[in-house]
Amino acid sequence: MKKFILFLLILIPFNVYAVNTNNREEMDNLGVNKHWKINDSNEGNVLKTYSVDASEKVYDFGEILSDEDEKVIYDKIKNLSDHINMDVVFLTVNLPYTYDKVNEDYAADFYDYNDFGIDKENYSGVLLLRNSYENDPYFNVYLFGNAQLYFDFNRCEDMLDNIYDSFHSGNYVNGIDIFTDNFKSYYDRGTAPSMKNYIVDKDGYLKKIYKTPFVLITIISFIITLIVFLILKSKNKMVKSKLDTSKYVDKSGLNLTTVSDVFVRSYVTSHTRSSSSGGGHSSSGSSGGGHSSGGGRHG
Amino acid sequence: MGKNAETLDNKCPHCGAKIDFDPKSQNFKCNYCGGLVSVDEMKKHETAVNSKNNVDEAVVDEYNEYFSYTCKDCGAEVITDEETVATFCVYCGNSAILKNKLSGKFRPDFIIPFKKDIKEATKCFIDLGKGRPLVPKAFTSDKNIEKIRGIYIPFWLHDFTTSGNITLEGRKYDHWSVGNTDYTKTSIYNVERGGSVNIKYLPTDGSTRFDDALMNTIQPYNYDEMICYNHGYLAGFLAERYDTDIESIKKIAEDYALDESKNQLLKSTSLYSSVNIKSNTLSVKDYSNKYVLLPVYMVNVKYSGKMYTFAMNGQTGKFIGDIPIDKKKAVFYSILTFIISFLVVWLITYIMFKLGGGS
Repeated sequence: MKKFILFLLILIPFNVYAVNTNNREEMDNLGVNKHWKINDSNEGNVLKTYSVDASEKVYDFGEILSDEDEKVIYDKIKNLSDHINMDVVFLTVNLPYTYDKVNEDYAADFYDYNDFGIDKENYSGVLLLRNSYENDPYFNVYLFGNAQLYFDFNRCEDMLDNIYDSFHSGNYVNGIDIFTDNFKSYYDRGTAPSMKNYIVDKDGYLKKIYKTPFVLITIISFIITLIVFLILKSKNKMVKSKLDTSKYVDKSGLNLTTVSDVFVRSYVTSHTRSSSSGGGHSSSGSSGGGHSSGGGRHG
Repeated sequence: MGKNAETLDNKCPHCGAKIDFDPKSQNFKCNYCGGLVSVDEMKKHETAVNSKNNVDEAVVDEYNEYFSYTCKDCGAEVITDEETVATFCVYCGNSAILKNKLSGKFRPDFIIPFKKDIKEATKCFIDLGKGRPLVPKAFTSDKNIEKIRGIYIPFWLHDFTTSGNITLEGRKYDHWSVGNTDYTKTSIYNVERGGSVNIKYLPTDGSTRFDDALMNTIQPYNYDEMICYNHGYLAGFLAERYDTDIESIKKIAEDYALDESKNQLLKSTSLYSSVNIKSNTLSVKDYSNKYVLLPVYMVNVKYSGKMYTFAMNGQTGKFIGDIPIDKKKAVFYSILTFIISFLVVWLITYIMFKLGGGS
């Protein structure tokens, strides 16, 4: 295990030293203060995750920000964090990857194994990741705890679209400006419509809750009552105005003498059914905690 | 003023007391000595008695407003209207058949005697409330049941032979799907059907005093049990004679017959999903009719200031009529249904939520 950790540390780019990090092995519970259980299956992930000071909020491991930019971004993020009463983190890395899931796992472990959201309900917070890997730059937003209720997939997608140009061109200050404005606005609008029937459990997972659909049940019950009433009413109405003449056709019945069926023409019409697309994305990191994310953008 | 009608004698051949037709035994039953007399015996007795007691012919008043007859039991002068052919003395209850009114063109060709007696009719009327929760409780009360009366109602039975052709456009639809696309193939055909249809014993009500819809609904009767008319079957029941114009009745029946003939031809086009008739040459080729008296039990019930008429087929026991709705019961059952369905739908939505993985 130690050889593996050493191998990982060798892989750490030089730029990491721009951010203050701590040695987890010297810390209690490997520096994890949340209620995640550290075991053999996730210990490696914990150790390879940088231990940082959670109050810094901006972690430029990708070294794409100037000192001045970091300060401006910190102020904006701090302002957003105060507004939404959740933690907000901007993380930049230069991480080679093949699948988007690598970015997601990295972001989730970074949030879970550091003290982000530690003083918030359900460790709530938002992490905006920028991976400046030159072969395939990528950015995405990850939601933890109650943030999943306010910033659903659609809202995240909107925000990612809005910051795309800024991030693609490297104007991160402007991108963060849009990001914070968007998230403030979403938060002020309240829980996302698609999350109305969800709660977040202590592990950060979204749980669907049963909410009695009173209006729907009332309408269905009214329709059933109406149908039952009409059936009962029809039982009282026995008189038919028209004679059932079919009963008077003689046993010899119909003597059919002409039967002709001539095909004239045919034609084909078509109709394409509309298909609906799926919703957001929810998963868990190595900590066992739940989180959600947007669709992510390459560029 | 009016005219005197000659009545038929309904006396027991054994004791001379009043005797009525008994639907259950299909014989005449003496109300005094209990003797049963067959229809043939009664016919012979009637002929003998009537030849002896030949009363005066009816006196016709110039204004022709009503008929009167003298009850042979109590001697009272009983007044009745023009269409009534069998009635009861309002003083002693003795039944009387007004023979003059059933002669000539008013003499029925056939009759179906009552097969159900008043007890069965009463039971059928009470049974109307079964399975119908909205029937008012007072509706089938004894007060109403006492009003049930057996009556022979005049009907015309029409026999038609129709023939002709119909031409129509028939369409067949084939549906299939490939991926997200649904396809429909419509095939159009020119269709022709021709032939003849025999329609037998198509009934139309011959009295304007009875609701046509009610008379249509108590059909059908089993016309195989129809027998030649005999005055004796009227004993113990009320009876009417026809007062409708046969030509107008024939036209209504002809419309029924042609419509049914068209339906018979259309049955052979059931392989088409939809049809649109282009032409119809169906017409009546042969026609005949019969004048019959059919047995019906009738009762009028007053509820909430409105009169409701019910009729029972005196041969099959089928009782029909539009029953009023008890408003209190309607409100009660509606609220009950709403509460039950609300709870059931609520439970279903909860179960569906649980099955869908909700917590």
